[in-house]
Amino acid sequence: MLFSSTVFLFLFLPIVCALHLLVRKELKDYVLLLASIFFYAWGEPRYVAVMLLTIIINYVGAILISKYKCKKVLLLLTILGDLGFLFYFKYFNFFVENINALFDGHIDFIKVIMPIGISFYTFQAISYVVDVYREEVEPQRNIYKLALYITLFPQLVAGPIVKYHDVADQIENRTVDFEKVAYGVKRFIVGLAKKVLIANTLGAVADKVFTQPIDQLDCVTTWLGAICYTFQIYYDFSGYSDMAIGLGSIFGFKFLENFNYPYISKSISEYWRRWHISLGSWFRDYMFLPLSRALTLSVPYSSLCKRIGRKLTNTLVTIISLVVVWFSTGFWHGAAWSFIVWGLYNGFFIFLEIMTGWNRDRKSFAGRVVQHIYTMLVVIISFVIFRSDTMNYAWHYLLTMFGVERGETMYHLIYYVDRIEIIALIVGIVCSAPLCSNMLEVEGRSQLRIAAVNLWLLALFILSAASIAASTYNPFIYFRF
Amino acid sequence: MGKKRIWGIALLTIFVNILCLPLWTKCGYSGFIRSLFNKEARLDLLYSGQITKNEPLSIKLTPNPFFATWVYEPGSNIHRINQSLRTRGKWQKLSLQLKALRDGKITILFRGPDVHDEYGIPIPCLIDWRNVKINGKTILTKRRAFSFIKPFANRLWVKKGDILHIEAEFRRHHFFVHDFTQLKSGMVWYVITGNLLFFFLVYRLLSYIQGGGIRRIDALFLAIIFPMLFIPMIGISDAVKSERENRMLAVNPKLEDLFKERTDYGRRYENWFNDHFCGRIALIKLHDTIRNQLSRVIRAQKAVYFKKDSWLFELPLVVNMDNSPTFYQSIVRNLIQLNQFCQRNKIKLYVLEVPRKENVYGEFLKKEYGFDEKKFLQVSQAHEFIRNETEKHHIPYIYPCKALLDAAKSDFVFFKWTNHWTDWGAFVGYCELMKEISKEFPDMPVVSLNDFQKSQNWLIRDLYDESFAFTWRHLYWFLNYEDVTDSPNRAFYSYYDHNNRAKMAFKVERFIKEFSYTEGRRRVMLMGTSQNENLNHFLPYSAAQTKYVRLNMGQAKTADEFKILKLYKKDILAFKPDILILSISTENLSRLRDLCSIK
Repeated sequence: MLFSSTVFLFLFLPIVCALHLLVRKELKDYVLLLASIFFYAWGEPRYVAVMLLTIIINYVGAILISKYKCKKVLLLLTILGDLGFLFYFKYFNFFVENINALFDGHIDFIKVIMPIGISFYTFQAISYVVDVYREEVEPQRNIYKLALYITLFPQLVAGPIVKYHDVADQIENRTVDFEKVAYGVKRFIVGLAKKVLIANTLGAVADKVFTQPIDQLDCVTTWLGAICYTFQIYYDFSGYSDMAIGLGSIFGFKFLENFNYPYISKSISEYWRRWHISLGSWFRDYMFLPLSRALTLSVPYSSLCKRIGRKLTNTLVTIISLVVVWFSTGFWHGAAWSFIVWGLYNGFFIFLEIMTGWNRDRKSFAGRVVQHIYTMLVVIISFVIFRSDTMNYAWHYLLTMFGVERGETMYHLIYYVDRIEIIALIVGIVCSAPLCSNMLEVEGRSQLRIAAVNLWLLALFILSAASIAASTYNPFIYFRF
Repeated sequence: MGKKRIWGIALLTIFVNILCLPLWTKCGYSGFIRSLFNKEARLDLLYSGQITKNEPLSIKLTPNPFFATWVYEPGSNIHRINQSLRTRGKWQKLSLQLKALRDGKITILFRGPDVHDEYGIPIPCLIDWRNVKINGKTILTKRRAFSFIKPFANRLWVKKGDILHIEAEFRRHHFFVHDFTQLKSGMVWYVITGNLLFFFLVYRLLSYIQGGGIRRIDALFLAIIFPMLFIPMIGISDAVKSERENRMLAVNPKLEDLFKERTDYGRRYENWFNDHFCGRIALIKLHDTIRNQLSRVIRAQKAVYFKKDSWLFELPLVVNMDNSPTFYQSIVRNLIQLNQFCQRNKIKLYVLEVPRKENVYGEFLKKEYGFDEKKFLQVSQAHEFIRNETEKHHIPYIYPCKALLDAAKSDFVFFKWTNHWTDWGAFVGYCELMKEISKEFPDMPVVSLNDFQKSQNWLIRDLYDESFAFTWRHLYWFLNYEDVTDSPNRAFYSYYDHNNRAKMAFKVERFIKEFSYTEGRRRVMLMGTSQNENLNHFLPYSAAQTKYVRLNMGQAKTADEFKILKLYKKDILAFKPDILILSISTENLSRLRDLCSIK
C-alpha cells in the first residue's frame, strides 16, 4: 500500500487515525501494531512471516546479549540472521548472476520477490541489537513494543530508518494531542503534494527521456532528463519522508528529519549530511565509526604507523572505511553494479574533499557559487548513474550530456516538457531551497498567517487528491475505423 | 463534559447526516444536485395495437402548444412519444386531451427526466406529481416523487374515437427525510460507523479545544480535512460500467479470496476502490480542467492534441508494422489470390490505400512536435514493395498520398479531430481512383465538383455519421470535453451534396449500402473501412449500381472482418460486379493478410 494511493488515503488512514484517537491510551500501541501488520500484509501477505521472524530473532537476540557474557558472538549471530534474510531476498540472484558470468557457471536463479521495505526494517532491527549491545538502551521485554518499533507503518516501507535509541522512550511513553495531530496532518499534506504534484510530474519527463535509445537523445534532452530525475528523486523521497514524519506525529511519535535541503549543499560531504540523513547517520554510527575504531586499534595500524607515519596511516584507514561504507551504501540501494558504482562515486568525492579541504566554507560569494555548481554537477551525474539501467547506458548518456557523443533527437522538447512540467520544475527548484522552511511553524505566528497556510494546504490536498484520482482514470478507447 | 455539549454534538451529527443524505441514497450527490436545479419533467405515451405509419392518437396539450411527434420503435413494436415539460419549484398544471384514431393499448408514464451520470448510469432525478386524473377519475392524490426509471405508469385500452382527458400537477422534487427509502444497500453500516466516529471525534476535538490543547484555526482545519478523508469511502458507487471510460469497472474481490494462495487480493481491492470511491469523477474533472488549461499539448494515452491549432493525432504516430519481407510478401500473396478469384469471375480488382492523417500532415507534426519524417520511412518501404509486387501482377494499387498533400494546401483533407478524411479529401482520393479505373473502363463517368453543391459547416464526422457505435465521443471524454459541441475545435469543413440526388436510389441493410444511379453503366462493389463513408458521396455517381460492404462492422468478429473470400464470396458472386474496389487505411494494412488467409 502506498501513501499516495486512494486505498491508503481514503480508507486505511482515516480509519486507523480515528481508531487511534478514540481508543484508550494503553490500547493505542496495539491498534498501531495491528494496523502496521495489516498495512504490510496488504501487498504481499506471505512476507509478513519474514518480518515476524526478524522481530523474534532480534527480540531473543537482544535479551540474550544483555544476559550473557559472549555478547559479541550473540550480536554477530543476530546480525547474521537479519542480514541472511536480506541477502536471500535481495542479493542472492545478483551474486548468482556474477558468479555465472565470472566462471561461466549455470547456477539457477531463485524465483523470489523482494519483500517490500526489507532493507529498512532490517537496518532498524540491527540498530536495536547494536544499541542493546552497546548498553545504550535496555532490551525491550515486551515483544509487542519491539514489533511496533520494527513494523510501524509510517516508516516501514521507505524510511526514515529510525534508530532504536531515538524512539525507545516514545514507544514506552508518548502523548498524543491534537497539536501534534494538526502538525502531522499538515506535514503529511506537504509530503503528499511533493510526491504527487512535483515528483510524479517530473518523473514522467525523466522516464520519457531515460527510456529513449541513447542514440536518439541530444545534449539538451539528456540534461533535461538528468535534472528532472534529480528533482524527482528528491521530491519523491523527501515527500515520502515528510508523509512518514507527519504520520508519526499524528500517532504521537517524533521522528528525526531525513532531508535538510540537500541541494543547497556546497560539497558532497555536506550533501550527504543533508540527504537521507537517517541512512547516512546509520552508516556513520554502525559502520564507519566502529570500522575506523577497529582499524585504528588493530595490530597492523601500529606497525604501519611506524613504517609510513601516522598521517599516512590515518589516510589509509579513512580510505578503507570510506570504501567499505560507500560500497555498502550503494549496495544497500540496489543489487546492481550501477548502484555500487554510484556509492563508490560518492565516496570518492567525499575522500577528495577531505584530502583537499574543498568542503570548507568559502568566504567569497563567487567561491560559494563555484562550490555549489560543483556539488550539483556531481550530484546530477551520480543520479544519471543511479537511474540508468546499465553502466553502458549511463556512460553513453554522460558522454551525450557533455557533448562527446551526439545522438539525433526525434522530438522537440515539447514532447518532454509542457507548461505543467516547466511549472513543476520551477517550483521544484525554488522549493529545494529553504525559502518556506518554517511554513508549518505556528508558534508566534499570526492567526491570519496560519489560516492562509491552512487554506494553502487544503488546496494542495485537493490538487493532490485530484492527481491521484486522475491516475485511476483509464479509458478504453476504440480508435481504429 | 456537560450534557449540553453532548446534545450539541448529537444535533451536529444529525445535521451532518442530513448533509450527507444524498451520499447514502441512490440519488447520490449528482442526482440530488441535478434534482435541485432540474427544469424538466417527462410525460411519455406508449401506444401498442394496430401499427401503421400514421399516428395512433391525436393530441392536444395545454399549456404547452408544442408536442413531440410519434416515433415508431420497431424493436418493441410500439409508437412512442417522449414529451419534455418545463418545470419549476412551484406546482404547475398539465392538461392533455387525446383522441384515439385506432384501437389499442395506451400507457401513460409520469416521470422525471432521462439523465445519466458520468458512468452512464441513470440518475434518479425526481419529479413530484399529484392530483393525477384521467377522465375525471383521480388516480393519484398526494404528492409522490417519480424518477425516469421508476415512473408512475397507467395503462388503458382505447377504442377508435375515444377521448381521454388527462390532468396532473407537477413540480421539481423537494428533498425530505422520506428519501431515506432510497438508501443504498450496505449503507446502514457506513451510516452507523460514520456517525459514531464523527460523534467521538468531535467530542474529543472539543475537549482539546476546551483544554486549550489546539488552536481553533487548526481545529477548523482538522474538522475540514478529516471528513474529506471519510467521504470517498462512505459514498462508494454501485456502478458496474463506466460509459465515460468505455470499460467495465473493477469488481470487488470476494473476502474469501484473501485466504487463497497468490490471491492478489490487495491489488484487486485497490482496483475496485480506485474505480468506485465517491468523488472520483469530480476529482478527475478538476485535474483534467487544470491540465487542459495549462497545457499546450495534451498527451492522452492514445492521442496527442495540439491545443493551439486543435489538431489531434492518434498515437502511435507511426503504425507499428512488421518490417520483414515475409510480412509484405504474405500481403502480396493474399492480394494475388483475391485477384485470381476476381479474374476467374471477370471482375477487375482495384486496391485503394487511404493514407494516415499523420502522413499528410507530417510537416505540421514536425513543426509542432519535432516529429521526424524518417519514421514514416518504414511505412513507405512497405508501400513501395507492395505496389511494385502488385503491379507485376497487374493489380492496380492506388495510394493517393501525394495528391492529398497537394490538396491539403487548399482545404482540410482530414478532420482535425478524427482520423477520417473529409469530403474534400475523399474527393481527391476518388479522383485518383477514377484515374486508374478509367484506363480500363473509359465509359464510366467521372463526377466533377461542379456537379455538387458545396456547403461549409463545423460538424465533424462524429455528428455527421451518427450510425456508428464506435464514435470519438470517448475521446472527448478522455480529454474532458463532454461532447464534440464542448470541444474547442470549431474548424469549418466543406461538405458536398450532388445536384441530382433524385436520380440516386439508396438502400441500407445494416452495414451494407446499395446505391443505384440512372446514368451509370457499371456495377461496382466497394469493400472497406469507415473511410469509404465519404467516398460514397462521389463513387456511386460513376456507377450504375454500387454495393458498399463495411468490413470492420460487418457480420464477423473484428479479427475475421477482412476474410473476404470466406465471408463475402457468395455476396460478390451474387452481385456480379464489374469492378471490386478494396479500400483500406494504412493502419489496417496488415489485415490484408487475412483476405485469403495466406500467411
